[in-house]
Amino acid sequence: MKRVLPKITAAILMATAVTACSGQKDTSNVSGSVEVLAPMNNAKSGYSLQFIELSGLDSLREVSGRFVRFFISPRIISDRLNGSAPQGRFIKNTDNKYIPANDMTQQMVTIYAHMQNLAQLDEDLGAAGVNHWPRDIGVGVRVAGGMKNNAFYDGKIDAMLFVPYDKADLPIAVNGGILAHEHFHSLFYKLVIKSAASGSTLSDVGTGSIHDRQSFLNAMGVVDSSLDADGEMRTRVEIGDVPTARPAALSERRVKNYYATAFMRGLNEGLADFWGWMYTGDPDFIATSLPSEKVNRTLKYSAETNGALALIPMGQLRSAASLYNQYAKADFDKYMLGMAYNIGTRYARVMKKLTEVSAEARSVDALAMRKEVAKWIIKSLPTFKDDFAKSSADGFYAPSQYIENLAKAIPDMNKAECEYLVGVINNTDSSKRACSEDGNTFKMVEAE
Amino acid sequence: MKWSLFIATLCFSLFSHAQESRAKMPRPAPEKDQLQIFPLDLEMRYEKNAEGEFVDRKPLNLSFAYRAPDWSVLFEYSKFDEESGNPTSKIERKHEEMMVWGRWHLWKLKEGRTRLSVYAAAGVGGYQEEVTTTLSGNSQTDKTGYQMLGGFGGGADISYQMTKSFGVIAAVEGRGLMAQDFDPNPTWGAVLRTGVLFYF
Repeated sequence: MKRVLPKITAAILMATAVTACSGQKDTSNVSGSVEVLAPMNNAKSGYSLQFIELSGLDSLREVSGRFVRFFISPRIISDRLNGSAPQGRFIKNTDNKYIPANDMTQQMVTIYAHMQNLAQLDEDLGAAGVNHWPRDIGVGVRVAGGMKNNAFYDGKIDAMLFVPYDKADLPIAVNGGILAHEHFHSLFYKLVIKSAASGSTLSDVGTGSIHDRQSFLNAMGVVDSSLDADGEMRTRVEIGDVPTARPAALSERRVKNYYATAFMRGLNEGLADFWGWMYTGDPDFIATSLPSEKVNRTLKYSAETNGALALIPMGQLRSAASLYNQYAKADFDKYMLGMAYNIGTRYARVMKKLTEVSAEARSVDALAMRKEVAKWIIKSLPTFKDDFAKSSADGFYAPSQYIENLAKAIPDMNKAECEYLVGVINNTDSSKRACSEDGNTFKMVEAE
Repeated sequence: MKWSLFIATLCFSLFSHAQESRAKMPRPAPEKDQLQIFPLDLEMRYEKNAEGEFVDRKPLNLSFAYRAPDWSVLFEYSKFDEESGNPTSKIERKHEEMMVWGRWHLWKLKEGRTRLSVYAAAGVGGYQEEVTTTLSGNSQTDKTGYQMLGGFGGGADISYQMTKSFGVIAAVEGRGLMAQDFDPNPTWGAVLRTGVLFYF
């Protein structure tokens, strides 16, 4: 026995040495720039498997670095995301490129790749410095009630959260359009909502996002008043379907608050939908993961959808907000949520149509024009914030007012663009606008 | 080539020592060498998932061994598959490995036709992983090529001699497998082997 033990020890040490000296590099020690396989999209061919370079990595195994810090099944503590980093599993192929070996790892590298692209896009669009990097992202987020198939941005913790996806389509976490959509919410939150003065209407609209906080907080015992129990983005409720509850005296303050909340959510959602299209070129990027959303959320417009010609009029939204005292709160909230999505989809379609009108009028490549319109949107947000606060203090900010805010952010608006935007305003509200030539550019004026 | 030479050297050196010790030890009666075949092994090992939780893998495991009285050498092949994702975006990971184990039978007991032994083991070998990534029906397959792998373990076996040249055997073994990309490293597991043996 005495003679055998040293041999056993030696054999184990040799086996350890063999593996230690095998020249392979543990993925937790891989950092810097690496090429990984991920499902990425382009406007022409849709999604395909591509080798992409992830840069600024601190650890490949955790897929963490300059652009993203992941948390798995996180909790919120002191308005920060808390939890451990998920551990990726890779193989290194014979060309020294890394291949995710399970779906969670694939989702992590794809999210990292898109956030890397979106960071560059922020710079290109004049929004560098709005967000802090790396971005905090929660994956495998567990929500009470088993909420699934959703992603949301939470402004208060400044994090993007992904709950498990159990449908048969493209997982939300690898859907570049949805990632860009959620990323826009972070820009909107910081440029519009976060800096709102306390006590203003803006400070009452929460994070200004439809599917952001309530459901996640619900997991921690906070009441969810806006999302379906099954966690689907929402079901549009027709007001006629809502059972009458308890008529009460109408409060102008509450009507204004419901109006402002629905409008802010709608605009935020609509511009975020535009962001998803701008980034992917796919007008149905949401339906790629959530096919049931196709009819309501497509950015394709037609005579039937009428979506690119007019927005939801102020009167319609105000009337809707005035119904709050006639219905059960949960049903009314759901109804207003549907209204917000309607507002949003109209904005998204108008922005897409504006891009097409501009591309044609300026003879600019479609991709370049998408980015240009995105720049105008970023530029318009601070002005919008001030106008919204001012209008909401006195009355109601009309949806068509944002078009005027946007027009002011277009430095060299041409005739086609002006006429299109004026058409949208005039089709939406009773107020009439016209285009006036101002040197080489056009501007909106009151119609005579 | 480099590491097949290494394995040969390792086996040769270990076995020559074992033979030397056997030569020095007084033996009442020489025991016959055996060829052991384990066609149906039950293996379980524990990898970590993304959340750091242990998940069990149940590889297909086949092995055969040459057993001298004090030592044995076992050749083992094992493989397992893991599938994740959904019909649109799916990832299939195939892991296969081949190992050669040196085993030292530290304690032995013989009662009639039944033999019992407790052993310690160390092994080296190679593994390969293959990942097939499928997106919307289009697939791409990538392989690691063979990478080095080491292992250590301990276990016990029991055999029953049925005829002059034939018997049955069962063994249970716990072990740790080590390779740079294993998570955890070492990856712990256990094997239950059942098989037949032939006496020379």
